[in-house]
Amino acid sequence: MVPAEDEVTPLTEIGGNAHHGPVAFTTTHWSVVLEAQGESPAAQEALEKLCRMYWRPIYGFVRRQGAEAEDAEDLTQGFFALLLERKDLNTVRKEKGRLRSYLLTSVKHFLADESRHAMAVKRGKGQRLIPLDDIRERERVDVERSDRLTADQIYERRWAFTVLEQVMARLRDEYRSAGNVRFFDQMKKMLMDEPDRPSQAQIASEFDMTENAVKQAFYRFRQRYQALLREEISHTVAMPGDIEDELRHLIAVVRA
Amino acid sequence: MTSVLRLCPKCEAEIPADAPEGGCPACLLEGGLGLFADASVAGVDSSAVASAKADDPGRPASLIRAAARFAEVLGELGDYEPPITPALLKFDPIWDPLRSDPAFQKLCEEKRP
Repeated sequence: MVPAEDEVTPLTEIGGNAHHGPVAFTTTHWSVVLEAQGESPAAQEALEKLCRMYWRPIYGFVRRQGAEAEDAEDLTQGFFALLLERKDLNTVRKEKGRLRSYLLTSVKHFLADESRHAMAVKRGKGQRLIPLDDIRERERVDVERSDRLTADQIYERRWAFTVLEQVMARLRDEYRSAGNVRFFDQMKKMLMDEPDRPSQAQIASEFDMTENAVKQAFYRFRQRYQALLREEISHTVAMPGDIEDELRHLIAVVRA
Repeated sequence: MTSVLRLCPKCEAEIPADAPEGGCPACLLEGGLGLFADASVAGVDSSAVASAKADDPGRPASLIRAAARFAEVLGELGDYEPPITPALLKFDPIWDPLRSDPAFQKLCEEKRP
């Protein structure tokens, strides 16, 4: 039986399911980085992965501070290159161990330091941690230069969008692996609850299912979405207790 | 570059051009978290939600009443509409001022599925 909507499982209770296993907090990327202070190969790999994943908020912040596209690319590349080389993560403690806060504070310090700034541009030209094609493709529609948002707001919004994108991309990959991309698309429409979404009856007909089976499939889809969201956030915080705060922050940013 | 303003057909909020999945990010997140009970999506009969709103025993009406009381106390949530789910109570930042209140914590704990 599909639980009623008001009985949805709280995120604190979602640790995975029989198919995907529990979310192991102790092995999240950011906690690995902090634990090793960037010194171990595993920590370096984890930090690189996080940098590749979360470059867009930094790039958006730099652009909003007035940098032209090419300079912003170099600065973003250089910022992450220095971050990876420096291996100095002591200030993280002051930022409550959250990657989001750490990167924002770091990039502000970084942009305020002229010598570091110049070094980063030079370094950024030579080092391509983030694929340039990716930057240019994603920034094709550059609406934010004239936007009313501040640099901090752009950073926060892009951070939130990146988290949501990661979650949906992972969910899509799971359905794709099972050969169910079309079904994923329909479930996603249901999740977003847009007025033109197909009805459960239409989906049932399209996939030769009963409506009850569609309800159950959607319930599982949403449960998996929640588990992945929690896992994605857990990768960016140092303490399990921070996950819910980050989630609330995410909701607030997305609604702003 | 001039951007075309798009509004979410559901919540009527502006959809940013770089929004994930090209849709309304707030509706995506709220739908994913199940923050708002939606009878049509959840497969819940709409009359069930209506009865919950009408204080039907066994439905989340007591939660709604409690939330409404909190809203009155806050004095700034007059246009906040039920149904309110346990997930909404737990994660919506709108409740942050009350989060440390033992009564609120007890309410959330009691309503955990």
